[in-house]
Amino acid sequence: MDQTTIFLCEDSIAGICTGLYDASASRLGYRRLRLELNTGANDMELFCRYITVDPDPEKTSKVVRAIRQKISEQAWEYVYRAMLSAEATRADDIYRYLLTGFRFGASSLNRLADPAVHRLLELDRLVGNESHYFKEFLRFESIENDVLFARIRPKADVLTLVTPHFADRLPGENFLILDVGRGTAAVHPQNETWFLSSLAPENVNDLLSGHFDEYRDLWKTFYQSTAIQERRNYELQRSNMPLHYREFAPEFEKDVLR
Amino acid sequence: MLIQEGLTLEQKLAILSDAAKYDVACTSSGIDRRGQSGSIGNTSACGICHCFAADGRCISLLKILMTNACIYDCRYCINRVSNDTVRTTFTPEEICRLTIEFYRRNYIEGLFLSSGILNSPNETMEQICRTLWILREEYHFRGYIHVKAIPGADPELIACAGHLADRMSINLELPTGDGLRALAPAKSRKKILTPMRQIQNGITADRSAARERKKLKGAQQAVLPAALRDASPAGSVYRTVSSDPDTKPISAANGPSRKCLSSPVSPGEIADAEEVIPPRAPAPADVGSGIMPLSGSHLAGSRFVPAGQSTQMIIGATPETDRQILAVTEALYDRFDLKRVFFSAYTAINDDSRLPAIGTPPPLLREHRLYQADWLLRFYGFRAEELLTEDHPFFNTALDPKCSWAIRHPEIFPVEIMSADYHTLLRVPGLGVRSARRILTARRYQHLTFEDLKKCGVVLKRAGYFLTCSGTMYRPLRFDPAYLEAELAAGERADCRALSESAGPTGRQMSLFDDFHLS
Repeated sequence: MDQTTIFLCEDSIAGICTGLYDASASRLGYRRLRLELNTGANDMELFCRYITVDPDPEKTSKVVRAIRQKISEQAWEYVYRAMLSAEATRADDIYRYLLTGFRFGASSLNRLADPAVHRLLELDRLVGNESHYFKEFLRFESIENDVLFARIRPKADVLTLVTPHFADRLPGENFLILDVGRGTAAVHPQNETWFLSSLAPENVNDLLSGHFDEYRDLWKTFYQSTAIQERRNYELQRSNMPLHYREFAPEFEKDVLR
Repeated sequence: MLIQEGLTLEQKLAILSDAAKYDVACTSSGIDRRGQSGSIGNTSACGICHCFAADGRCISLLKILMTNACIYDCRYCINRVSNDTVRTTFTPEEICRLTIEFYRRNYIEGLFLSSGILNSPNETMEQICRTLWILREEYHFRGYIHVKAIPGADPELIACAGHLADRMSINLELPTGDGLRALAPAKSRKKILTPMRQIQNGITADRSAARERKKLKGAQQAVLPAALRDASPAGSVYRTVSSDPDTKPISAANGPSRKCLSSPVSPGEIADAEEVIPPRAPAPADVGSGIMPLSGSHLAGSRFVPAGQSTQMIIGATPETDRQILAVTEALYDRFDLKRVFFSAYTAINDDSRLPAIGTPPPLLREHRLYQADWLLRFYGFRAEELLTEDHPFFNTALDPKCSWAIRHPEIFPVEIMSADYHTLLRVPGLGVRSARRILTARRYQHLTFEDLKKCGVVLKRAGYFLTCSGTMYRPLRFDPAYLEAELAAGERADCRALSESAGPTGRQMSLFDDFHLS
């Protein structure tokens, strides 16, 4: 029996790209290799060879260039978004797609019945949908000095997809969006371009403490009075706005949740 | 009628959003507009919902009335003059502040401003225009604004609002003129359709002007010979849909053929009323003259109602059939180029002998069926008379309109997946625009089996009864209408459970003996 080689990639764009590079450079063939994300607690498989991949900026840019030039810009967009998803198999899914992608070029994305293409589009949809949800349901709070502060807890790493939307929308505001789970934050200073930073959870309470935002209460009032009681339909409400997205929405704070 | 003084902003908001909640449209779609430094806001053509209320309806806009004081006595309306409720009015500044502060916090996508009639239609419309003007010009708000045109207001005021808003709507109120006469004596078909026509003409003129500007720009920059440029898709072939992301995919493919079909069901109401209102103007109409100082501000060059026009009517307050309602809907799309027609299941809130008694549950399932049919008209190339006939003027409560239609047309089905054209695929129950497009794309590269269809994301729960792959059915069965109806209705029931529950219990206890024929 042929031995399977498993490439353990770091959980980052560069990590996955380097894994993709090393996997194809190894010339083992797609049947005998697999990509996995190094979570630190992977279930090790017997009779496999494990190779840990160190992120390498040069290999990363080579992979990105190859996808953009030999497949298409659109394919790179899909691959990029797929890399942000929270699915455990995403590194290997992308590798499988690239086999089809490099073979058929730009038209590979139209081969919807190909399992690898289908999976890539599925990942893209998952991430795209989640980032759209947060454009809808993210809530800012006005804190000290009129700074707007929002918290999100997304499954996929959508912060970089969500922030440009708000940067375009609120160019004159100082705002901060924190991914609570990952501890990363997008910072947008007034009339400047935004950047990524990190924020420790213990600092969040300092930011929030001692501020009363009167519009929160006005919003809660509006939320309640705009519903038609004769048409109550909590099931529909839940399927339109899943509980997962309500964590930081003021209208769903305990006193409102019924 | 007493206007309450000294209410807090919160109390006013509670009263005036409660009074506005029966208005249906809360969509924020139809226009893409990027943000701009120095101002606040952008818009997104797909529309963005920001919350969902306890009734499951989307909250996208700050939906409020400017005032709930009203001189009219429309029987169905919560704000009618004869109702004894607390009356109050927002100042323009209050509306602007609420909009901006809610918008900054990402609570809303913009403002939906409607109003009771304060003293006169003109005074009301003027106050609305002032509010919008302050919001756009002083607060530099670039987000979405949906505003009601008040029937009976001067055309200049309506034109002015049109330049400030993204979408305008005038409520048709009730599906027929008879209903209107009985329940809203102060309103008439003519009063409602005249501004609707004015806005339609304004939109048409604005779009052709925008096209000219684009062409001019293109002519200066393009290196293509003129002949090639005229033949390009940006030309005039699909002119009404090219700026319309909502309807683009289907109307573009379907537009021409739809117009060819004649309409045996007379949308008489709309046609009769049309004779007394100004005609459609193919040439640019004068929509720019306004009362506000438009020149000198950025509004001088602004678009006119760029996200289109919509309307709504109340379902279940008057005795019309579904067929009449759908015919009116179709006529509105055909003759007034509306973007959307909304239906509002009547909630019995007023004690009135001419209306359903208080406590009558709103006809939610009927409203749901009408929306399904509305989709079929707009995106699937169906005509109203195909869906409902004189013998069957109401929708089947157990089946959606597309399934009912398919069962009545066994001559068309089953459809072969590899060879059927787009329009035929769209008529298969369970296949939507997206699925049909995916099938077209995928079948160019390989022979599709039912397994492949599933991989493409096509759901076969209903479509499986109507499709063949290489001549074989998904389920080994005969195409028998009675059998199909029972099968499809069983699947449908779960979808509509929530809706029909409010119309009375339809679920039933399973019985071992009856259901499994053991007795």
